[in-house]
Amino acid sequence: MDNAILSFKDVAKSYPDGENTLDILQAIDFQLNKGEFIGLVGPSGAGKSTLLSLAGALLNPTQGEIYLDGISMASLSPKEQTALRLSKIGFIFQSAHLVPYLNVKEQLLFVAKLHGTAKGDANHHADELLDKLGLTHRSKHYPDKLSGGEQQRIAIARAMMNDPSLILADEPTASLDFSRATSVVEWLSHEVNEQGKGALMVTHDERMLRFCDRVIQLEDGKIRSIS
Amino acid sequence: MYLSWKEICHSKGRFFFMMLIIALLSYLVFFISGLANGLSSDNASAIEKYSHQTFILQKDADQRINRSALTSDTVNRLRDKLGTDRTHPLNLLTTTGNKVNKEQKIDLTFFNGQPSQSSSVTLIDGKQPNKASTVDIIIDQSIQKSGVHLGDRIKDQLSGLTFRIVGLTKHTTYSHMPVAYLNQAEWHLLSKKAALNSARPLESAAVLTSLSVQEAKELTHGLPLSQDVQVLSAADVIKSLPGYSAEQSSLTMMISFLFLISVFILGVFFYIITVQKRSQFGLLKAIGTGTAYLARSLLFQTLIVLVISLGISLLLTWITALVLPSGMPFALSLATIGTRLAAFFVISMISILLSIYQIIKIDTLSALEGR
Ligand SMILES: Nc1ncnc2c1ncn2[C@@H]1O[C@H](COP(=O)(O)OP(=O)(O)O)[C@@H](O)[C@H]1O
Ligand SMILES: [Mg+2]
Repeated sequence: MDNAILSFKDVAKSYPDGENTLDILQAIDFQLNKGEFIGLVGPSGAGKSTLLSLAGALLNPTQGEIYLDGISMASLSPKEQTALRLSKIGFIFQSAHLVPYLNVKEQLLFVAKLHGTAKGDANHHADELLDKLGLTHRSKHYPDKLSGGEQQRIAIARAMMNDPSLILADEPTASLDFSRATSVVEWLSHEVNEQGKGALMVTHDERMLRFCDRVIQLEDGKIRSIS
Repeated sequence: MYLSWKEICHSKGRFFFMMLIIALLSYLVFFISGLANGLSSDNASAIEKYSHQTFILQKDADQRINRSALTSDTVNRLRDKLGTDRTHPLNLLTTTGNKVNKEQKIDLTFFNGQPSQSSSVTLIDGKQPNKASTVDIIIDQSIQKSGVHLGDRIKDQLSGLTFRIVGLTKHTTYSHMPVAYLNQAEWHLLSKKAALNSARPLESAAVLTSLSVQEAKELTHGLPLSQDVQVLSAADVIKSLPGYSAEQSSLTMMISFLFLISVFILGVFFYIITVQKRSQFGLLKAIGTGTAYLARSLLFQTLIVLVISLGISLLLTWITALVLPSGMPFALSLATIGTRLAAFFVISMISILLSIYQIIKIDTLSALEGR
């Protein structure tokens, strides 16, 4: 139990749909431990993105509890949830969603600034991340000058910038070619295992699953298997 | 502040045009306000000197002081009734004159009020005339545009009298003409001569009283007079000056429209920009940027835009005031500038509040997914 970063306790999510309710997720129960990299697979519409949003407190569950580092997230105010996302969660969305008027390095420095990290440390960390993701030569460029793959790698670097304990990635490699995708995911899983973080990654690419410690298969809003 | 500043630096062109539009709009507002004030002052400043007094005019004059003619009998009865110590007649005569030995004709108006009245106007040059003098006068400095200066003598064509200018005053014009103040002796002389030439006695335009409009109305009600009279506030008299309402209402309408356009530009512009950046704000919130931070950064951005553009427009206005020909009626008081600036700030604050409300309302997830 001590080892858990994220745990879902019998979580359900539904939306009102006229007279009825639309059950998107049901009876989700699992635990993500320190140093663990979990893959999340399932057909489109299975509820993978919704599960990730719940884990990142972008949504509140209709039922059940979600704990991040032992804290029940539903009990927090929206403001506290925002602060939690800033300090503990690294989000990687399907599309990069970079801030158009910040250059590559500034994208990273901005989150450090929000977090209140000392300038020197932030600078050092940003350089390190850019180097690891092969983006050092791009650090002064603005997003509109970068390829989709480069943008996505910056989004990944940004997610790692505040040293989050939980990384939530929604198809992060969709816009990367195979060799680039492999090296990025390998690096992510290495970071997670090495630094005792936790990661939940949605992917459609079976070939990425070999870097995952466990794979959760989602179907029709329910967990079909965890392996 | 970091975000807003970065955005301004990155989208220099867009912000430059936004500032340019706001600067030009507010410049137009300042310029037209200056024109409206200038024209108003050019038309009415001499009457504004009596702004705390109540006017009694001939009823048939239709509120127009230039048409009003009260007989001395009416004036005496009115003053008896209202109290001679708190009333005085206002005599005015619009005429044409010329500088002695010069052909060029100059329109001007002679004013004769309470003996002490002329001393309440501010002299900008020269001295007050001797009370007993029959030739010395003070006149509005705008006469200088016609080449008449301190110490010059001007001849009134109606009466044939010649006066010597011993002092120049400021903000003392009537119907876009300079006003010359006559003392009792001079007016007496003028009215005798002018009456001789036009074959009718010069009559007083109005009786002024320090009583309120209401009090004056009650006291004059049912008073047996040979003429019907009308009690008016100074503001009503000014409004009815020839051309005054027409000038002011068209300029006021222009200013209102400019403000309306500004509301659209500032309000809708900022508002739409915020709506357009919905997914960006959604992302920023998702990665942990607080709403307060976003609101502050929006506020900061709007204030920068506003301060720079209003600064530019004030600079333009100042330059304009410097290069305008001196004959152009243009007057901007600090109070006018202040209220206009305040109006711009209020409009912007409302638009900021609307935008901040937008930001608060944004649902992070749907904004990210573009729903
Ligand atoms: N706000 C919402 N209201 C109603 N239905 C929703 C909402 N969000 C998602 N859904 C539905 O939930 C289902 C799961 O969506 P999602 O989690 O995005 O699936 P996945 O990421 O696995 O493709 C979809 O059928 C989607 O239409
Ligand atoms: Mg999805």
